[in-house]
Amino acid sequence: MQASEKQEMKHMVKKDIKPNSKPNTEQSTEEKQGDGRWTRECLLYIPALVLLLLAGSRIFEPARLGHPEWINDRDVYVYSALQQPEDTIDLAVLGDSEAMVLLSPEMLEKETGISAYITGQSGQSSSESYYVLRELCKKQHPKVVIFEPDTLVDDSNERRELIENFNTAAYHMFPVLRHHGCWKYMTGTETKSTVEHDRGFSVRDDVVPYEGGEYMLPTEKKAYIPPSSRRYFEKIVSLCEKQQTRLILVSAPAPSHFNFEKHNAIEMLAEEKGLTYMDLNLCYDETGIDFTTDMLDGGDHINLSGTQKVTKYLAGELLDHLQEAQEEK
Amino acid sequence: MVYYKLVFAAAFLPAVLLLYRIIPKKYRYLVLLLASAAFYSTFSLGRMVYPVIAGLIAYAAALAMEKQAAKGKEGQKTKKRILILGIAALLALLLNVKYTDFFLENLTALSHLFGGEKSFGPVNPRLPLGISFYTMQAIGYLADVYWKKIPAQKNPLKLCLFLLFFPTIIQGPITPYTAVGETLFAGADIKAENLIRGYFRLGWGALKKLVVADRLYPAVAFLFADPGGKTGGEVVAAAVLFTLMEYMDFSGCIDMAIGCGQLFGITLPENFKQPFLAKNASEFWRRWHISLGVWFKTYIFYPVSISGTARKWMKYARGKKISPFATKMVISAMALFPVWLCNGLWHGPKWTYIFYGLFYFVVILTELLLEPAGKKLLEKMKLTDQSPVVGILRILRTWIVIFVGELFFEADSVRSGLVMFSKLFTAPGFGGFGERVRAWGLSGGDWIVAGLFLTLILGVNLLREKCGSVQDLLMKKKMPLRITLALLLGAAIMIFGLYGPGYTEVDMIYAGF
Repeated sequence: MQASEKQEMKHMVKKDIKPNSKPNTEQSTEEKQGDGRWTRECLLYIPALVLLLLAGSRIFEPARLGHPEWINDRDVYVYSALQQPEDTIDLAVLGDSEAMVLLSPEMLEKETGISAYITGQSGQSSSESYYVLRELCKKQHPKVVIFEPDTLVDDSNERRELIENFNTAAYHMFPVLRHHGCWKYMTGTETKSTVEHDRGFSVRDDVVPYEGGEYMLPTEKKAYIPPSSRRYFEKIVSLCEKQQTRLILVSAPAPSHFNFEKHNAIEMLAEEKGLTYMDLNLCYDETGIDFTTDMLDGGDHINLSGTQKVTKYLAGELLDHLQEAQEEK
Repeated sequence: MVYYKLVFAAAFLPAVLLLYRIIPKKYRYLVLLLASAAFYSTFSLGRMVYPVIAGLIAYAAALAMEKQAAKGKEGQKTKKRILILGIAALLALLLNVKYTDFFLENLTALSHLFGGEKSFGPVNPRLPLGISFYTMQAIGYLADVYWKKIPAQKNPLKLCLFLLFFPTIIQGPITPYTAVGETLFAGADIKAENLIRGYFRLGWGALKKLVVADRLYPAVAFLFADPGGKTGGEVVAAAVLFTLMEYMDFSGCIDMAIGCGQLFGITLPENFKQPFLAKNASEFWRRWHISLGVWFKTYIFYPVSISGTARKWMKYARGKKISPFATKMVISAMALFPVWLCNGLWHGPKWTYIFYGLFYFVVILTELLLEPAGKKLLEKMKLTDQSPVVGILRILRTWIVIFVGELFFEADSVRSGLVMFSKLFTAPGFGGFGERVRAWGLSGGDWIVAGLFLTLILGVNLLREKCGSVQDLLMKKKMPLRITLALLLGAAIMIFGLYGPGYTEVDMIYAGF
């Protein structure tokens, strides 16, 4: 800055000494000097803003501040899973809100001794599932991972998925973008108590029956899976392979929005990758799910009673998978 | 994807800037067109057909008019017919998607009123993004070509860019072709100074939208729900908070649009000029949504003021020796009525918007009527227009007009608006202030942040009124101060902005128009 000021001074002096010098040339030199100054300043903005984001990410870290409860409500379960002691999770469940009601860890542990954790989030995208698993695997070595694949076939499109994936990557790189809301608790202008949950599972016992008709009507058609969702799914598969973790796909009963086209698309994907796929939308006789008593919100999700039935049904299957996975290791 | 999204600022804009920089000057407008199409496609690829059709109509009609103009007087009639046809086609596109259901709904109501049982519609057409904005631009372009203010654009892609330009497509400013055409297609080099200016303007807009406007949203939503259960104090709060939220939302998004333009060296027209310092309703509309006001003035008010009907009235008034003041008032009413009716209708197919437009028609006409009496009163009180007391009182009076207008603007229906308005008299006061305010959905921290940043933003407004462009002032300061301010701006958005997981996005108010 000082150098450029000196240059400007020199320039002014020159101007006084040589009144007959060509004004056009002087103007262009001045402009060039000005441009150079702005370019230098402009280049400083990028590292300055990156530093700001890094510093913010360091400061706004609920666990580091000793208040994990300050995390935003959507991330509570995931964040809590990441704070668990090393190697205490045998089974992790990834996915959107369907994953959050898929099974009860407490009941599963009672029935099988498997220590499970639900790491689902409302509207969790495949890119989020991947980053959650990546973070989880830093401290945990789950033997089995269940991926609820609803997010792959949720009528999204490639453009929306690309945007979603970009956001997820940015939030992962700069956690302040995720945790910035905790300024309220840091300053004491608001308080937040711990959200009660059982290893990522919250009791939801409302009953709103599903009143639609038969929804799994066989068809050859396949639902669309956006390429970027698929790409992140493949990343999840690779990560599980690297971690020697068995990955299985389980579709939760969701009569109001699931259908055979979605089933076909997921089944094909599972076959392609050599994964086990359990579609509970085709196992009502086995699970005993009753649309009048086991639905939380008219068919989008199962309620507590539905979760208990599904957990009971899955327990045996999961125990087999866990044993096989251990033997493979 | 909208301007205040991370993906827009950190991925889309840098990519477009880079592409713009490396492409030869001659083809840079194509980069902007491509970017605009990509931007639009993130909302809906299919509905991009609407702005493209509007562009093609404007393109063909303008060229045809120019051809007729070359024939001299002979082609004048045909030229006018082409203009009318072009405008009718553009309006038909707009009316079809925006007003069909409103028309059918009122037709049903009318039919039921006369004992009919048949119901019409709704057909639920999905509104293409920005249709109210680019239709106005296209009509303005046709009128300007008709008046020979500008030559017709020979390149249809350039005309499409003018209508589809990504910073203005969502909610304006409604940009006249004369103001932006040249810089839009010039392909000027990217300059570091413009990038810095653009950063500040974009950041300032994001601050208004994410830190203040979205923060006030829960309170506004609560206060406008269940109008019958509100107290007079809450109605006042509803009107004031909605006005502030709307200003922060709309002007913030316009700041971001202008900032985007600055990055590419394109100067978009200002849309706000310290509206809360207006001393009357007319002045308010010269400071608020300026581009809409200018459009109506140019393409409706002036043409009606000098129309054959207006001239006939003047001749008649002169013959009948009607006073010049009364003559002027009739012409003003004649020209203002369509302006304010269209202003209301432009905002959307709702009676509240029509009421809002006509409310300003009545207020502005009343102001014109009372102007001579007001001057006499000031003379009697030995005051002038320049007296600070007079200025302050006029500003306060204008605030009342603004708040009442916005109350009806945001109300669910005219009936709800009237119910809320009546509460000012039937249930004055708050009725347990603290308890009621807690129900509005904002925490103590939210109120402090909203209050602090509102004060800052309105303070900068005052500075702008006094010193002109704050951006120019900032660019004259030393670099360390500028970088510090840039970081503070970034930090304020980063910490206090409402975005990311756990937050529900609040749509831009004017994007729905």
